Amino acid sequence: MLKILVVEDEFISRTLLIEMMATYGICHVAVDGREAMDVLRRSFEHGERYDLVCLDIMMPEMDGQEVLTEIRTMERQLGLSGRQATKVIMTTALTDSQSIMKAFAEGHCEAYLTKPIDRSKLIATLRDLNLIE
Amino acid sequence: MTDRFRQERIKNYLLNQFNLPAEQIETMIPGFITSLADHLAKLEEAFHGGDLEKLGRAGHTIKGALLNLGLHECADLAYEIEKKGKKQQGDSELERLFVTLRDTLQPYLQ
Repeated sequence: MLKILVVEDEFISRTLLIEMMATYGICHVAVDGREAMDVLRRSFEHGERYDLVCLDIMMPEMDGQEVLTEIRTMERQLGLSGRQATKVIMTTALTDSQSIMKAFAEGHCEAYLTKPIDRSKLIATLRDLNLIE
Repeated sequence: MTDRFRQERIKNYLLNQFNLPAEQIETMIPGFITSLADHLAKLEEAFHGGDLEKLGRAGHTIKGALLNLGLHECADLAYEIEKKGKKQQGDSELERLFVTLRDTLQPYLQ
């Protein structure tokens, strides 16, 4: 079963994403970037890493970009790469997509999805990332 | 548009967009309406307090919620408010946008 972390600061978006992702694995939640960092650091320290992080790019105080950078830094420190690396799907409103395109183009996240999250696109993305059959 | 029609509109959107069981959506709707009301209250607080940065952030937050509920015209208004808030443009157009969004959303929140 997949271990999934959903990072999203808005209640409705968060609830819908969790409800969709719960079909595919155990879903944990962080409601902002700081909480996500704490959860992710602990998961790395205890050898209980997430298979997938769904990461909202725009959040108050600490945004998705910073969290993403931290994930990749921790992985580099542990010598994790390629198939061992955490798959990250960034989520955003289409209006904010420029910063996602940058992260995507630089190869730091594997995919992005725009709100409203389309269930069929989500499933296609999970398949493309080899997370589900 | 009646209140029932508004609720049905949101429910149908959620059914089609997210493919969740109708029963599940029924249980989620009250919490979503409350959340939307909270978002609007925060937007209103920022608007009346003249805090444009806070208004921009509140506009961004409510935009995400509105997109997920299929209220795309309202999401567009929220996006315009977000942009003006972030650019510190506290003008009569911002007021018009806020009043239109508030007045359009209130019937959904009853």
